[in-house]
Amino acid sequence: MNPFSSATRLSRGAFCCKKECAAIRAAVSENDQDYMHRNMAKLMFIHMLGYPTHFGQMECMKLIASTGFPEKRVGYLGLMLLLDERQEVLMLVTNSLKQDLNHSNQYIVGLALCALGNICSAEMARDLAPEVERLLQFQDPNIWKKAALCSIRIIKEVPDLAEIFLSPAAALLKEKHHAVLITGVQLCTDLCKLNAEALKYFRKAATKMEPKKNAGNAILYECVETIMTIEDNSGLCVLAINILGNFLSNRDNNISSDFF
Amino acid sequence: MEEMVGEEPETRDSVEAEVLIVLCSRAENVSNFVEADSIFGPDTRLVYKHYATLYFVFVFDSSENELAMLDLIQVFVETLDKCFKNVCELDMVFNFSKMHIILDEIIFGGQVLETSSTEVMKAVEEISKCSLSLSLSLSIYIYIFTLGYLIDSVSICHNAGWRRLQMQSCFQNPFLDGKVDSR
Repeated sequence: MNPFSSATRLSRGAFCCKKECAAIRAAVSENDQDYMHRNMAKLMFIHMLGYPTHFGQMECMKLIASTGFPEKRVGYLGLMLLLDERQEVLMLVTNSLKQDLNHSNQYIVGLALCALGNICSAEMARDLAPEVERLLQFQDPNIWKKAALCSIRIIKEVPDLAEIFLSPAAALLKEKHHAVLITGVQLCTDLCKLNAEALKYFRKAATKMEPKKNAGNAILYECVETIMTIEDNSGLCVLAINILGNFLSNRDNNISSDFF
Repeated sequence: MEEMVGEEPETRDSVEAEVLIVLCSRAENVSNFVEADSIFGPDTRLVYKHYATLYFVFVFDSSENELAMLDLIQVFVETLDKCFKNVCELDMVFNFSKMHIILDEIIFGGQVLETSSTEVMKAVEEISKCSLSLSLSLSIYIYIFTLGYLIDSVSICHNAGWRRLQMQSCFQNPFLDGKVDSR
C-alpha cells in the first residue's frame, strides 16, 4: 500500500477533523456548558472517523452528572464509545451511575443500566450490584430485561456476587414478556455455569412450567441442556430425561424435531 | 456473543481492514457466514448481510445460534427502516446517535436484549421524545461537517469502532469499483 497516496487522499479530511478538534478543545477549556452536549456529540463523530479524542473523557463525566436527559444521553453514549473498562476515570462515574439507577425517570435508569452493562469494571460491579438486584424486581419489562443482562455482566466480572441474583433470576422465568424470558434464561444459564446450587431453583421452575407455548418449551429445552451439561445430580438428570420424553412424544413436528 | 472492549485504535484499524478484505472477497451466491478465527480469536464467526450499498456485520461465538444472528441483523435493519423511513447510509451518518439508541435496545453488553422490532421502536420513540432538542441541531451540524470532509476523501470504514458503520464517499462506491483501502 502506497503511503503517499493515502496521505494525499486523506489530508483534507484529516485537516477538517483537526480544525474541529481544536475548536472543541477550546470550548472544553472555556467550560461552555450550553453547547457541551453538542460538542461531545461532534467529538464522538470524530472518534468514529478515527482521530484521538481522549481530551473529551472528563467532559463526558460532567455531562453524565448534569440533570437534562439530552445531556445525560450524550454523556453516556460518550462513556460507552470513548472509554473502555480499563480506564481509571471509570471510577469517577460510579456515583453518577448510582444516582441514575435510582432515578424516577425509567429511561434514565435504562441509560445507566446500558452503560453499566457495556462497560462495567470489577470495582463498579461490587459497588452497584445491590442497585441492579433491586431493579431486577422492578415491574417494567424494559428495565427488567436490561437489569437481567446487566447482572450477567456483573457476575462475569465478580463471580462471588452470583448468590444475590439467584432468586430474582428464578422469578424472571415466570414472566410472560418474551424479552424478559430471553434475558432471564440467559441469566439463569450463566448462573448455572458458575454455581451448581443454582440448579435447585431451576428444578422448581422446570416442574412448574406450562409447556403449551413455544416460549415455555424453549426454556424447558435450555433447562434440559443445562442439566445435561452439568451432569451433577442424578435426580435432575431423571427430571431432564422425563421432560425430553414428553416432548419427543409431542405431536408438534417442530418441538419433536428440535428435541430430537 | 462476546463483546470486544478495550481495543486500541491501531488494533481496531487492522481488525476492520481484515473484516473488509473478507467481505470484499465474498461472491454473491455464497453463504453469509464466515469463520473469523484468524481475526477475532478461536471459535468466532461473523455473519454479514448486504443491503444495497451497506454491509452489516455481526461477530459472534458458539454461544449464539447462527440463524438467530442472521435474523437479528434483519431485526436491526427493519427497525432502522421504520425509524428513518427508507433508511440509507446518509441517515446513519447524520443520525449516528439515534442509530446507537436503536442498537443499544437490541444488543446489550454482547448479549441479545430484544428481538421484536415493534418493541424496540416503542422504546426508541420514547427516548427520542426525551432528547428531541439535541438530535435536530446535531444533524444540521453533521451535514455541514460531512460535506466538507467528504469532498475528495475516499476511505471507507476509516478507523471507525468495530461496531460502527462504513463511511462512504458521495462520489464513489468502493464495493462496486473494487477499490478497497486495505491497510
